[in-house]
Parts: sequence; structure tokens; C-alpha cells
Amino acid sequence: MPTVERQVTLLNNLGLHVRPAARLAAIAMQFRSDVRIGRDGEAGANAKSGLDLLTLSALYGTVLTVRATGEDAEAAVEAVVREVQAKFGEE
Amino acid sequence: MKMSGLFHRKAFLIDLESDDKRGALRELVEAARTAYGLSRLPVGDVVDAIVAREKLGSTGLGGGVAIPHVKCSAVKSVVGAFGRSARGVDFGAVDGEPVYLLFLILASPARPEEEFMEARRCVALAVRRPNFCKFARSAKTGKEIEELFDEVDEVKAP
Repeated sequence: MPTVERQVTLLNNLGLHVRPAARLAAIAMQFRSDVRIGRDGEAGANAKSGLDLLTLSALYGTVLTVRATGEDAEAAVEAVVREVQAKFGEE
Repeated sequence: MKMSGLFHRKAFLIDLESDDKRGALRELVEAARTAYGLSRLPVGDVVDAIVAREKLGSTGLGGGVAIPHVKCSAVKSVVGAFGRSARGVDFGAVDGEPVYLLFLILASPARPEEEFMEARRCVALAVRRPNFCKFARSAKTGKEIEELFDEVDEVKAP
């Protein structure tokens, strides 16, 4: 099964706080692939869990690695990256 | 940051009466007002502010947990109120499930943003610990939940 990985920088002022975490989880949940979001080379949090994402404590400027494994890995990574780039609709 | 530091004993509501989001939030805000002696806290306005921000995106992160939060000038630092609902509150959570454990966080706008984030992260770390939610939901008394929070604090966060 394919694994797709991309990096994206957090550009919204407040970083990955509660609402962005919830939004990313809602997006990741739509895909069948396993989706992980990590920072600083760490294994990464389960993107389908808003709580897991919140514990990343990722602030403005953090570079995130988005990795998905599964049939729809490409689409999953694309959707997550796009949401981060759109600053979670906050600004 | 510790759970027992964030959530004062008096700010525990182990049996929320309301089934609806606004009602549950009101109970929590009132509990915070009383527990921390925040006599100038305008309950109605604070609840309105939280509800308005919830519309932008629910703080129901899934797994029956919600972390509603707002900045509030009546607060000097960062404080929390914990609420448990036996029946579950419809919070518009990301997984569509009711919320049974609510962690309200109120923070002063004058304090650093990192402190606010750290409070929410502290809650997220606690909740993710194995069996935390199970124990919190099945606890018979507020004391048991206090002990659960203390236990979580004893383990160093990664």
C-alpha cells in the first residue's frame, strides 16, 4: 500500500490548538488510510484523534510532517496539507 | 502545568444537569466563578463568547471529551472547571458522539498565549492516558476524580 509524505509549515498565529486539531481530525477521518502528523522527526500523532494532535503542542512556524499509508494516502495527505495552508479557516 | 493546579477541587461538577451545550457551559462557568471567587465574571457574556467560538469549530475533539475555552479578563491567570455528564451532551463533536467529560479553560488575555495552549495540552495529555476516561466516567465521587487528576500529575509529561 502506498505511503505518501509531505511537510507543511504552521502559519496561523495560534498554531495547532483545539479547533485546528478538531478540524484536522474531522478531515483525516474521512479517509481510510492511516494518517499521522509529526514534528521534529517524531513518529507522529494519529491525525484522526483531535486529542492526539493537540498534544503535539505545535505553535506558529512548526514544520509538520504529514504521512499517510493506504489506498487513499495521496488524497488524505493533500486534504490535510491544504487545511494547514488555509490556516484552518481562521485568518 | 498540573491538572490539580488547573482544576480546583471546588470546580468539579460530577453530575451536570444540562443535556445541551449552552446549559452545560453555563454550569461550568458558574462553577468557575464560585470556585475561584471571580465575582466580576459576567457569566452570560462568557457563555455567549464560548458558544460563539464553538460555532467556528467544536472543541469536542472526539472520544466523549470537550475542551471549551475562552479568554476572560475577569481571570488573572488560567483556571479550569471540570464537568461530567452521565447522559452525554450534544457538543457537535468531530466524531458525532456525545460528550461526557468537559474541561472548561478560562485564561486571562494578559497572559502569554503559550500558557493557554499549555493548559489545553495538559488536559489532552491527561485524557489520553490509558483508562483515564473510563475511570473519570465511572468514578462515584468527586474525590475519586481528584485522585485521578493527582495520579496523572505524578507522571511526568513527555
